[in-house]
Formats: sequence, C-alpha cells, structure tokens
Amino acid sequence: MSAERSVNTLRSKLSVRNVSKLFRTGVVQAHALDDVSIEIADGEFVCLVGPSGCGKTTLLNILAGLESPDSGTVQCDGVDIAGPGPERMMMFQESALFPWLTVLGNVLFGLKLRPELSAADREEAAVAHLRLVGLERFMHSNIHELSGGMRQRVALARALAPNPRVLLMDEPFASLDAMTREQLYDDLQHIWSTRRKTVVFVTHNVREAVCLGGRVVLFSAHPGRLIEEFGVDLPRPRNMNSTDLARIASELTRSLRLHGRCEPEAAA
Amino acid sequence: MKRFANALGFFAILIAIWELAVRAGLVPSVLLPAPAAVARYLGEALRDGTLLDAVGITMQRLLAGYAVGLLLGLPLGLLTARYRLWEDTLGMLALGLQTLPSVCWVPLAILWFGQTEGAMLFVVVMGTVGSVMIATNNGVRSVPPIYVRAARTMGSRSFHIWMYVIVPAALPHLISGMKQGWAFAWRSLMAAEIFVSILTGFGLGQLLHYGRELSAMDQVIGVMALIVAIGLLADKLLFAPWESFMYRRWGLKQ
Repeated sequence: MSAERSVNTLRSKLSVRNVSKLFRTGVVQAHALDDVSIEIADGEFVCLVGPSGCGKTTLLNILAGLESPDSGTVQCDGVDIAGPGPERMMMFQESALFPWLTVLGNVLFGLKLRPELSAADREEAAVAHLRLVGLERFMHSNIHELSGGMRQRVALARALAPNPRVLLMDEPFASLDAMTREQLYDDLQHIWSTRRKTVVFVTHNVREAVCLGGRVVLFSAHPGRLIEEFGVDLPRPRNMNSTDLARIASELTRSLRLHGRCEPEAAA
Repeated sequence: MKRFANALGFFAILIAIWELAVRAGLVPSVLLPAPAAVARYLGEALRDGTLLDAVGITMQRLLAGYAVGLLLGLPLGLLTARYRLWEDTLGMLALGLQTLPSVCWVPLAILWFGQTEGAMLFVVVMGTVGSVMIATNNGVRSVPPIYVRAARTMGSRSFHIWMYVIVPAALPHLISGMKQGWAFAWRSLMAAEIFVSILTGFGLGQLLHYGRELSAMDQVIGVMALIVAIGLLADKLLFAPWESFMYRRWGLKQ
C-alpha cells in the first residue's frame, strides 16, 4: 500500500451504490450503467477507463448531478446528489468556454454565483487561478484567440476557481495534440498534488489513466459494468513515456480486451 | 476605407451608365429621367422641406412599429424556444404568416383602423414580429447544449441561465434576426404608406404614391433612391457596431 492508496481508508467522498441507468434509442434499450458501485475517497485521483458506450461519461454526469440514475444511490459526503452542487465542478471534452466572455469573464462566471464572495474576492480568485494555469497574461483575451490547450487550461481554472472539493473531468484532453497533452498531465498532477482535490477523470486512453490516476477503474460496454480496479503506485510526477507506466498500461489493456468486445483506443 | 471606395466607385459607374442611356435616347425621359433631373428634384424637395418632413414622419412610424415588433417578437421567440406547446401553436402561426407578404395586411388594417396612424403601426408590427420571433427561436435552439450544462455545474439556474448563457450565446442570431426584422419593418411601412393616405402625416411612401399620380418620374426615382439610402444608412448605424463587437469577441468572419 502506497501513501496514495492509504487515502482510501478515509471516509468516502463520493459513493456510488448499485447504480443502473437505461439508455433508450428508438426501440433499442441498453444498460448504459448496470449495477455499478464505487467508493471514492477524499483527495483520491480516480480514472474511469473503458470503450465508448461503457457509460463512464454517464456516471460522471450522474456525479455532477446533470443526470439522475434509474436506480441506486449516489452520494457526496453522505448526502444524496440531487443536482449540481458547488462542491463538484466539471470539465468537458470541448472546453465549453463561453465565447461572449473574455478569459477572465469565463473564470468569474462560477465565482459570481457565490453570493458570499465580494467582487474583490472574486477577481482575486480568478486571477490567482489563471496564474496557476499560467495564463494570467491572457486574462483579457477572447476565447477564439486561444489554442486548444490554452482553452482547456482556462476551463481548468474556471472549474478550480470556486474551490470545489471534487473535480469531474470528462476526457478533457482528448482533442489536444500529444505534446500539449503531456504538458497538461504535468500541470494537472502538480495541481492535484498541491491542492488535493478529489478527481474523477474519464478517459478511453489507458496510458493517460495510468499516468494520472492513483486508482484506475475499468469499465466494459453494453452493458456498462465495472470490471476491474487497479491501484497505481508509481511515484509522481509520472512521465507518460516511462517503461513502468507502459508496462502497467499494457496489463490494463489486456484486461480490457479480455472483458470487452470493443477495444479501447490505443494509448497515444 | 478601401471597401467604401469600392462601393462608391460602383454606384458612380451605375449612375454614369444611366446618364449615358438617357443621353443616347435609349429610353424616353418621361419613363427614365436623367440622374441630374432626379438630383434636381431631390434638391428642391430638400429646400422646401417636403423631403425632411416625409423622412421624419416615416422614421417615427418605423421606429414605433419596430420597437413594438421587437418588444413582442423577442420574448415570444424565447417562449417558443422554451416551450414545445408555444412553438407548436404560436410558432406555427408565425411561420405561416411569414409567407404572407406584409402588404396583404393593408386592406385589413384599413378596415379595422381606418385611415389612421394605428393602421400604419399595425402593418409594421405584423411585418416585424414574426421574423424577429422566428429568428429568436432559431437562435436559442442553436445554442450548444454544452454551454447550458457547463453553466449548470457552476450553479447557474433557470432564469440566470436564460439571462447569462442562452441569450448571450444566441446573440449573433438575435442580432441577425433584429436586422431582418428591421428590413421587414421598412418594407411593411412602405407598403402601408403607399396604400394608406392619411391626414396625420405625409411619409416617403406617400410621396412615392403621389409621384406616380402626377407621373413625376423624377420624384418616383428620387424617393426610391432615398429609401434605399436610408435603409443602408440605418443598417450601418444600428447594426454595424453590434456586428463588429461580435466579430471581435466570437472571432466570426467578417
């Protein structure tokens, strides 16, 4: 048991019990999620991996409170999740930044929904988080002027600025080029190490999951089920290209192949 | 500046061709007076005040009708975008009425309101409201759902989402809808003014109408040119600032 794994012994931050969700398209009914249970401890970095259609994004949406399960319970800090909440922020595959606002305006959006903060507090928090992702200089830029990687950094700053305990990430780096992505892996690991957020990170990239996660949870598709869990004990910061990481990743890939008909995308 | 010069050059060439056609006797000057004759009419009408009065009256009617059209069309468009029932009922009616040329409202307006300003206003509003409503509806429906999802995770709720996410996200569509509404209002008013002769004011449409009655071609063409010029000018003054803001912020192509 590494230090990272030992946080698991703490009380669960997020708790998913026997969650099922049906997905209907026309006449076809499929289990997007079939009796999925998972406990996530405070400060843990968990990656959900599986082929497309395995319901990992659905699970993330349920944790975010954007969707509700057909059966089962989902709790945060022992309280049922009934909708989005200030302790859980989400980051999407596309940046989902608002093009009618500047970079600063985007980061301020969530902060403005906190009535307890003064205008000065909001401004300070927004600028501090832009500094954290290295984009302080660009706070007055328009969104369309930023590269894909910069946009995701802004989205990360926007999600972190209201200081949530839980960060839900839905393939946030999937549409970026490899070099930008690796830079963001470093940044995200650094931010997680210093801020100890609980992170649930959805990806179909096994290597990405091993690089980031303290625990990697594998899902199968049709029906979406939890098939296996792996603890990753590699020291941080982890390098995407290390042989240890590659070895674990290939082990996971083998396990996924064994369970699923669909293969996940090859690691980048 | 270069684009302005291009436009200017183009219109200069058009007028030159027109002048040449008249001089060469290709068309009888009763049907097509020379540009100079039209300019002379415009100059005289400007001096004796007819033109300014007519423009003033027309703009008053236009702005009143357009304002009412927007005040009705924008909220109704939001309603049809939000509620299926509104879209299936009022939205359908608006879509159907869009196929009705606005001049078709004139006979009804005259019978209902008589030869009054009310009839004018009615025609302009009917011409504007549908197009604004439909454009608003389309604009709101084309807002990417991910914006709403992102806003919800940050704690934004119903009314806040509408005010701070959906309306700004739909802004490019709303502006083009308002622009289209403006064009429809302008057309409707000209149709109304040509057909409704009332005592409370003599607008550009009426000037056009009496030009025809008097077979004064210089007046007819002069007023037509003025209507086009005002339309272009209003477009640049009312909408260009919004559009350039959107181009900067959204990075849309100009």
